[in-house]
Amino acid sequence: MALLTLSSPHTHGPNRTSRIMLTVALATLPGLAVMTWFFGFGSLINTVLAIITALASEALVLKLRKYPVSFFLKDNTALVTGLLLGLALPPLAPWWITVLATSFAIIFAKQIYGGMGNNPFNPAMVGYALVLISFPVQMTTNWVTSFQVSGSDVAGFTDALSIIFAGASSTADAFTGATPLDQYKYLISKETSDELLQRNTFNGWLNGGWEWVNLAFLAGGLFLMVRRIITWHIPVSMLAALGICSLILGWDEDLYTPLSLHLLSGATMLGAFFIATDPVSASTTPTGKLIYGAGIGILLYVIRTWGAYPDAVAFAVLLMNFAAPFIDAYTQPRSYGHSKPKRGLKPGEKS
Amino acid sequence: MTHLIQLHEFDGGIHPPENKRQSNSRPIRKASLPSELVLPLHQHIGAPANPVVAVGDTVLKGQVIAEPEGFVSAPLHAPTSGKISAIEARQVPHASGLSETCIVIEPDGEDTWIEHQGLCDALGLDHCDDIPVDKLLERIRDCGIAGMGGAGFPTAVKLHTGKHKIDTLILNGAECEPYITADDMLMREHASEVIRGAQILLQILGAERCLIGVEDNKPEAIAALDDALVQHNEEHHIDVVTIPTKYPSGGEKQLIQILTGKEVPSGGIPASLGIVCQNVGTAAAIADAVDFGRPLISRITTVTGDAVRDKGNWEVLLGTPVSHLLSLSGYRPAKRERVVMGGPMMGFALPTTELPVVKTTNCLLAPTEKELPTNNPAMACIRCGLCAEACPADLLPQQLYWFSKAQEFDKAEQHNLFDCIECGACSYVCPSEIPLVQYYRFSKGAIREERAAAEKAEQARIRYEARIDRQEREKAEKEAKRKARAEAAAKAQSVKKEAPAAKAVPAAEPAANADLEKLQKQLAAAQAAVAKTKEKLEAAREDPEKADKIPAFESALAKTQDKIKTLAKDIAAAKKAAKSAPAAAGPDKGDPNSPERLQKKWETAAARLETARKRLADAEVDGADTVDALRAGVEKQEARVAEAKSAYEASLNSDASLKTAVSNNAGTDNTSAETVAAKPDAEQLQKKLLAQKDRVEKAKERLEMARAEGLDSVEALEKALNKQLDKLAAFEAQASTTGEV
Repeated sequence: MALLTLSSPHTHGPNRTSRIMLTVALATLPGLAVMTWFFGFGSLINTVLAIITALASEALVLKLRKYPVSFFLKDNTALVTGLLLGLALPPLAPWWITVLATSFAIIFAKQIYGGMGNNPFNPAMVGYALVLISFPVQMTTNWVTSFQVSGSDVAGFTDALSIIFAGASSTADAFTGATPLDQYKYLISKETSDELLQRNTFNGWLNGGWEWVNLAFLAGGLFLMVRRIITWHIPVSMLAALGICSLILGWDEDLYTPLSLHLLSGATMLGAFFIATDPVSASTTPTGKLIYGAGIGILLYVIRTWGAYPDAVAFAVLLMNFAAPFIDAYTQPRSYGHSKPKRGLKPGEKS
Repeated sequence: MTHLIQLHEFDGGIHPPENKRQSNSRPIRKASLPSELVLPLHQHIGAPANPVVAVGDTVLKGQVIAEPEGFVSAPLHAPTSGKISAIEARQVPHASGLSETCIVIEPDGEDTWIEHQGLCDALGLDHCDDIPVDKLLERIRDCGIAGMGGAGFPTAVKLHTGKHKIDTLILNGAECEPYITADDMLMREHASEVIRGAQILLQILGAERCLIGVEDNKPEAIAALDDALVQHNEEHHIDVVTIPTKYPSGGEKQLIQILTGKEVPSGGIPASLGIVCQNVGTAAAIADAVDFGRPLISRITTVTGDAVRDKGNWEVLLGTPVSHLLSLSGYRPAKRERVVMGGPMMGFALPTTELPVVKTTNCLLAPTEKELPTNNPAMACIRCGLCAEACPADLLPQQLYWFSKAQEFDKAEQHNLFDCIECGACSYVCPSEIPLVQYYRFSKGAIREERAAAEKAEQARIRYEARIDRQEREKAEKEAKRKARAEAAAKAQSVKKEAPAAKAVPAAEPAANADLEKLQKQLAAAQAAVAKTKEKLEAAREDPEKADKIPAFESALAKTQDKIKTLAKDIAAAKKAAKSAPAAAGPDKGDPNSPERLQKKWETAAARLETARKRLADAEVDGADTVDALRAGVEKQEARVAEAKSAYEASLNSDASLKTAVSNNAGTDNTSAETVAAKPDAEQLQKKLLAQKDRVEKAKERLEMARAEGLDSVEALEKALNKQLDKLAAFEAQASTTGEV
């Protein structure tokens, strides 16, 4: 009688990659809902478009690589990449920007490196950086001003569709405007902080829409933490580093963007909880995660303050992706029975 | 509990469904006698036991059927009375699926005990509290007790703590693996034995306190132990400590950490912390052995899983086939049939149910596919880090996985792969369902193999370098010899040409001179070799990397220096001989074929054969890998001895004629008389010359062969060839002189 012989353990817990990815996707929904509320249907349409592109690109490459397509599509990683890219891109970015960024992310940043788990860089951010560098105009002018700021309705579903797919620029101009981070950065040299905040982009505290979007992503991120899908290390160290930089280097609101704007504007919370925490490209040791997150926070501040771009989550994350393997090697935890942790990777050295 | 024990927490760990209720709701039952008992000789860590019974022997229950082999080993006893029906290789319950020697007993159904009694009675002591420790240890060893928690380490060996002073005994009653309830039921029903075992262990170890760690999901067991403590009046030394349920709190290292906050050093043993850890089942077995003289012949085993109808615990005789126990429990084979020996986390799946229960079999788990689904195909690692959070050893399982997969073993080792206890927590939490533990086992195996190979290679390197040194030395010596020979031949030629009339006397003189020169050349070469070796030795002393070669160089140096001494002596002797040569050139001086020399040669060859044989025997005992080479060497040497012997005998036969030839050689002026006798001698010499040429050819061939195969005998063969060449030269010289006469 031949029995089934498998290696131990013979039992398995309830964790599944596909479920983890689906939870991540669900956790972004409050943010997406708030974005749609404040900025119209652009983000939603872009997100759906990005997801479809991501799944299609993934399926195509899996087929080319002769991998079982449905088995791997069901891991939901492509879904999350598309989703995050859709959320990160300007709400009224033309469709081809979304399609280009997403397909590049999946095909080049993910599959060419070997597919899920093997990509050294965050695919969504590679796609984002590609279109940001290649098409700076489309990437900076298609941000929407919230209805509270403009006083008029945001782009309705059909408006958004026509802008995104037909490039109806005249209609677009009615809805778009600079983001708060952008505006503050370029106007602070001419105006005082108080004057600036009276401008309708800011419209006082908690009124521009961006604060609510960030708070929604924060809520989603906390949900992921409670579900133990992400740990506190990266978001906390990233936000703390950003905050400390802002307090020490940019304490003068009349010269630099204030802390509140850094934390609650742009892609800060989306970046801290959903993008920097991508496990594949991030550092994995507890100490390493702290260093990795802090690095992103510092780079984010530096680029936002002295760089050419108003926001910098993509660049900060990609730069730290480079450093992650190195950080991991030097931040191994102390193992049971050892007096001190190992440092670095010295091939040939025996333990 | 009488003391307040500060509990500590170990990092990581998981909470899989416990699934213990199925099997701990009914008392332990006694399994019936099967039709045969199969007892593997190797149920413990260490050397397999040695059978002391023969097929057909009748044995009684508790009789020793196999003795321990060496220190780390354990004896084996007959679990019931009956007949030894076979001693043969059978498949044993081991992850390797290998077969090992087993003693098979056919029970007679009587279950008759051999005479046995408690140690106290056996020693005739009045007070059973002061049995000497060595007697206790002897009893534990004699009763075949080995760790019953899982590893099966011989208990008496574990209790020899050497220089370590033990202050704490820990009894492991955590039983953290899901499904298993064998220790739970044992503690409930045999609490008194467990406490008694603890008392004995405390006495042996001289420890002050004992902590019995039990997970809080076994309240009945804890209550039973507490009652037993009161009965034994041991509340002051022994504490039953309730620990939180978390897998793998029953791992020895983890339990020590929970109860004492100390960590067993990597690669070390708990004794270095003053701690000894034993399973509660082992403690109960010790009590049985010491108080009643009952050896370890049965154990409590949980049979559970949805594929058995009647889940529960059995007191089962060692050697009982798994199939017997399963059928007692109402086993119905399920789809994708699996039977796991041990728990679902660390147990191993049996290849067949025709395997015996052994000393470490705490559970048989027969799950259905629905109950414990087999893993889906593994997906890619997304480095989510859940495994690192679950790891009780604080490793980075995901990194170890990547390194194992890429076969970067040095990096895996550098990430403390060998601190992995294979608990399976990482695999359990892995969302991609990667069989992580399997990867680690693979890496560990590969690294162990690599280490063994590296050690072998290092030894080979040392051997090789020693050989190269020796060969260089010999080459120099040989070169010197050859030159001396060539010069001698040239001189002989010139002497012959210059003074064809001055027949024999001058012929003998150059021979003596040539000898002398040869020796002087050899001396020079040896001196050069000494200088070279000294230089090398200096270099080695300065260079720490070559430090391991110093002894080799030193011995080489000593040898060469010895050689110089002998050479100096020889030279002195040769000089004397050369002086007296014209007067009395000894009959055997220049002739290597004299019977005396041949006899000597034969004797040396025989002596050498002796040493070679000895060396071969040593190598065979050590199991060295040089055995083959040595064996070939011995055979060659045997051939050489035979040859030397026949040469000697041949020389004896031709002695008479040879003597005349020799005397002719050594003769002074009576040439005309010699000529007559020289004629037949010349013919014989011609024959001999041809034979010698043949022999040289053969020796050359043999040497070539030995060189090609890199045999150790090259050295000896070279010497042999040189001798043969010398002989040939001598013959030629002889032949030319006689021929001209």
